[in-house]
Amino acid sequence: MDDRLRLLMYLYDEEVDEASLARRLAEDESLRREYRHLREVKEQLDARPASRPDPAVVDRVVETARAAGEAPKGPPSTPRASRPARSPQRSWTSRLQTAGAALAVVLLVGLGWWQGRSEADAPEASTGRSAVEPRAAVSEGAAPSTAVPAWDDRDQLVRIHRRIERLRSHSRPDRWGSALQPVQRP
Amino acid sequence: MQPTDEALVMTYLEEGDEQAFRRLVERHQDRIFGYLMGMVKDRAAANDLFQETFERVIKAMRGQRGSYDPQGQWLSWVMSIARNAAIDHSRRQKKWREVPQREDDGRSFWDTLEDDTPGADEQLHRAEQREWLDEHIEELAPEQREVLLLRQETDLTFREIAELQEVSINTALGRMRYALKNLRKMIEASNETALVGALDA
Repeated sequence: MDDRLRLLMYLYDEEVDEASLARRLAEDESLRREYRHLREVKEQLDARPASRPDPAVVDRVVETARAAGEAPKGPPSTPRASRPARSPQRSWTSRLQTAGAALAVVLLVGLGWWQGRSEADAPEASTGRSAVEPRAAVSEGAAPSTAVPAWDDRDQLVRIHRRIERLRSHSRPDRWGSALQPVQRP
Repeated sequence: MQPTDEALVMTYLEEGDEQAFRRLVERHQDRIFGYLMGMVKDRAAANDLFQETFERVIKAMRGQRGSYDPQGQWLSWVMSIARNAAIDHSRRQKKWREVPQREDDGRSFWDTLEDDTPGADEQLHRAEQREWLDEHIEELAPEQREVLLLRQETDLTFREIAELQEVSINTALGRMRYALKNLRKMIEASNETALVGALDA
């Protein structure tokens, strides 16, 4: 660091290698003169009376500090009280709402399923026969190989199946076991 | 034995003891106010800035705003806040040297007198001396004036001033050197003028 800058640090009692600086001052007249001039100005500056804020300002500052110091102890910063337990009434209301929602979902699903089933049965209804008829035929000893699986509703297959069933019923003897009555012509 | 600044800070923060904070303020009020006064040259404005500075300080210490490092030097930190407040004020007022405020500094001469110590004559002399020196300080370049005020009024070290101004320590020392040399020239010129005036009379 430059000797002239070190002079300033020495002048303001800051840490500096005094022995080295003293040696430089002894050697250099211009450095000694500069030190003298700087010191004279500093002495004048040091002699200036201190400037002080108005006492009322200090009081306001301390009041601000007091108010800020109280803030953490006040309600906003204290831990919140535990949330009160829910009332039984509210609990029942909540449960009813949940049950209602679940029931609505079940109804919607059921309605959808029923509607889908009705649409699937619609072609059968147009033939004027019951949907359970083919099953009945199977149970009565008809060839199982011709039975249509319940899950197979392809139209073509259903139509063929029903035609077979119709033909079979026409060719079957009277179910009730009685002999055929001749038609009496007038 | 006097408690340190840091001890007073902890007493205030941990125990909410505002008297500890008062001691801090009163301990450093001359330094902080002297710097602010030198920067704004207006007693009313310096009072406002002093209060504004401590409002910011309290908020930061309470963790509401800004950052406060309890490990650092409290005064250096407060001075950085005071400096920002002074710069903000100067920007607002647009009088960072461009418009010297000579004619009205917001106080009468009698406002500068303090109680009854020391004697009135001595007070008068000191007040005149301060006013006379302040006028010369105000004529310094802003960066020189600020270093001079920070070193002379607040007692921050040159290293702390360099950190505050974000310059090297050599730059801070160089500014101080020019500030003192220029001030000396002004004082000499002023004295010569006064001497010539006295001889003419």
